[in-house]
Amino acid sequence: MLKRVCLHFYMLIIVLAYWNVEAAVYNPHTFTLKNGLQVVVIENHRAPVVTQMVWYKVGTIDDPHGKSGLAHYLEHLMFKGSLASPAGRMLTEVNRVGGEQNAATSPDFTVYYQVVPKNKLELIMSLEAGRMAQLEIEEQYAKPELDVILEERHMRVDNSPTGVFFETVLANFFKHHPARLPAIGWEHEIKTFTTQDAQKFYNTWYTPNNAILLIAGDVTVEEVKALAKKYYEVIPAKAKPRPLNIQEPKMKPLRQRLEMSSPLIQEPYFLRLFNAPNFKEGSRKDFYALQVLSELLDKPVTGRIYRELVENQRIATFIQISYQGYTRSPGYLLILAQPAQGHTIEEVETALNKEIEKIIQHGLNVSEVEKSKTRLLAHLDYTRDHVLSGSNEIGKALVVGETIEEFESWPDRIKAVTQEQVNATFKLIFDSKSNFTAILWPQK
Amino acid sequence: MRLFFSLIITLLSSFSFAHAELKIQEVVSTHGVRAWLVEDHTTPVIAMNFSFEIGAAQDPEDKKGLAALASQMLTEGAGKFSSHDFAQKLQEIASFISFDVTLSHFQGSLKTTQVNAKEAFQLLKITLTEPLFSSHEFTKVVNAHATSLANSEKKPSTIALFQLRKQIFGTTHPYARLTEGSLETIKKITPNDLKNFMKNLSRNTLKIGVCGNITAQELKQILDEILSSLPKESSLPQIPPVQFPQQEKVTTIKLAQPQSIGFFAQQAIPFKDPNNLKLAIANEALGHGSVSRLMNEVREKRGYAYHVGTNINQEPLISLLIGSVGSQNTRIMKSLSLIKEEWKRIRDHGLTKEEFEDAKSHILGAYTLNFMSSPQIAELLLLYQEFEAPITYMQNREQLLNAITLTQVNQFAKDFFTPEKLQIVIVGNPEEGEIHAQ
Repeated sequence: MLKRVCLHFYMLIIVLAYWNVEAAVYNPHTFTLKNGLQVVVIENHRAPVVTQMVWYKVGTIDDPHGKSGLAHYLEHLMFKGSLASPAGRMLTEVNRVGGEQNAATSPDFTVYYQVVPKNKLELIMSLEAGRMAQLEIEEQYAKPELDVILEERHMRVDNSPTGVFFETVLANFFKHHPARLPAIGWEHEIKTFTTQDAQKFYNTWYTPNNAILLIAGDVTVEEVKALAKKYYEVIPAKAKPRPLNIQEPKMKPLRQRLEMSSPLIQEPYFLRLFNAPNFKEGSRKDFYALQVLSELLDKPVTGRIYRELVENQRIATFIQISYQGYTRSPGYLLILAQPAQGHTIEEVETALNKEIEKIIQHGLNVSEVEKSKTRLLAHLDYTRDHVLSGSNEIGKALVVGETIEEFESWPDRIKAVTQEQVNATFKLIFDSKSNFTAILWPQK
Repeated sequence: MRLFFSLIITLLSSFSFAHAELKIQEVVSTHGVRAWLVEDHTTPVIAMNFSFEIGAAQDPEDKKGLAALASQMLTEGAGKFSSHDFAQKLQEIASFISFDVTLSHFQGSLKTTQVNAKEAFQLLKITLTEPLFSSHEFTKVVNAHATSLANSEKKPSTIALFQLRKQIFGTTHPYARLTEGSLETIKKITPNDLKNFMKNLSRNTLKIGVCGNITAQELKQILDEILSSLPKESSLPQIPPVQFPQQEKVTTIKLAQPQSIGFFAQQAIPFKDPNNLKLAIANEALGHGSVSRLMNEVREKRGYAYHVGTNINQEPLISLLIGSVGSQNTRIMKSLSLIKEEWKRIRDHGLTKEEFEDAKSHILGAYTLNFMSSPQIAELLLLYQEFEAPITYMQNREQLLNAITLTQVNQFAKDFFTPEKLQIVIVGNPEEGEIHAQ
């Protein structure tokens, strides 16, 4: 639900919305070009299709102060230009060969991708390399795009029942870190963007040594190597950009509550956020235990908290628990629920608190933990069945600093999670004196 | 609501067999039910999609939402499995069973792996033949359904699409419904109604698509096993025919939003119509996808919208060319005027040679992208059967497309596009104005 990613054309929800549990072993090959561009290849010969993704290690959290949404504006401008420029050609040429393409800006990264019939790989590699090498942003294309972005904002945020709510929640949950900014930007700041702002941002951040090129599908490593050398290795590297690396302050224990209302909903929503370590913070064990944990708490029907609130007590119609950990931004865990008709937010909250307290006191049992691990691992069959799913999972991990080796060892790391670790991590997150509760009421 | 659009997905693209050797076999069960199968032993996965020809349009007027509730209740316990045990069993074997409803179809899907296939298909069988429909689970499902319906009814896009349907089909026609029913009618549905509903899921309207690690012989055995207990035939109420309005109509529903959304539609042709691929080409140029005249005029040149586009929606009773746009209140009338103008222009002047070539090339290339996973392939195999396409259709499609000329498409466009009959709905707070086409 908490989608902080702005997609370029449609609401293609296949990518990037948030971390999910489908990481897997894909046997990727990797090499680095002389200009510092890391290349990753995942061969999958199920269908004559190939995808190219370029992940730039820059996102909303790197937007200049007072220019929230600039990374996203630039993402749009990467498709704009004269018909002689790669940026101006990308849309039409990929469309002509029947390709699918899109781009997305998240707090942590910006990604561009195309999916095409395999014999068109060279075309998309030459175009993508072209706009990595050079982008001349021209006023005539850049200006109307500001209006497009404002319309995108209206659609995603203002016209969406929960859009304004989630935006407000994040702006209040994070105290200092720029993860508090909406990926699309605040409206009054979007209106101040200039062509020069976007050009400067591009010049600073878009360089081969700040990106990852990922090619997946019906292709061999050798083919990719040859094309990558031809089109990408010739791009000169710029100075490696340095992210500010802003940290959230350690706050005194704080329980916060935010209430809003919307005319666009009929029944209220209950949301609670907890601070949680991301994969770089604290113990790595927590990171993997959290994956097992979120799987075993909210799994429909059988998950511990789901079962209690939705099935047994029937106080809520659904409950979702999700952990955001593959991030440069601070990690967090969120619980979202909606009361069943005839029940109140207070009942949901009380029952949730009670269930959490019960787990803190008595722990989760070993069979729950083991079943959850088995389920997580079983999904590998399905992710491998899809020609492209591996590329998305691996890209999301690498772009925030994960290594391929660790990514590939995911099944072993999940297998190694113990009941004790899961219970310790549960306590770490839920026994904390700090949490953030937000309620969205229907506006009568 | 999304189901109204669910048939749009992949039909506008084509596929070259020269590049992907996708061999479709027809498997016929002992009871005469036909399934299309793509065997693939390089993956452990098996995916099956199937549908019966009964949908929300056949729900009784006072019990709208019946098919939707049945679809949700089928996985809430069956045979000896309670709701909880059923879910647990599926999770243990890492398999998925789900059901969904459109206006015209009751659809099911199963996703499993070869090692768990036997158990998974057994579970599927009991959902269809021995569903529990316990009143305890029913209360839970109805309440959740009501909450989701209540929220959905307030969404600007739902409001717009619902109004458009009423405008096109008339307020009482079954095609004007939400597949989910209404808050009032779902309260009148009982578990007993669900039991009666199941009699409609009969073999004579069943269509099946399968892809993955399973042989034709294995599939036949499974079908024989699952289908033996289903009714042979069922009798369903006839849906009254639809007459698309002959006059343009614009309806505005006031909602205090910074952005107005506009929906617009005209009548289209059925999938089986020999001109179907010409429509696909013309629609590609007009409004489908990320490169089109509408995208160019409304978004790229003027920045009036983030999203604008058209799709073809082919239901058994009527087909529509339907589109939507979102623009700020001061610009929505201008956006809709531009759209109407393009509608006229494509009728009067047709496509350019370049547009025609690009559209054809796009449709051919894009087809390959439909074959990226077993569930995706199974879904496509089902979709073509729902449209009663011959099993050779996918092989012949490239040839059919290549045979189409620009002159033919432009002749088709001249007869097809009817800007003077566009049905338009605006939801938002639009500035006063009219929709003008130059």
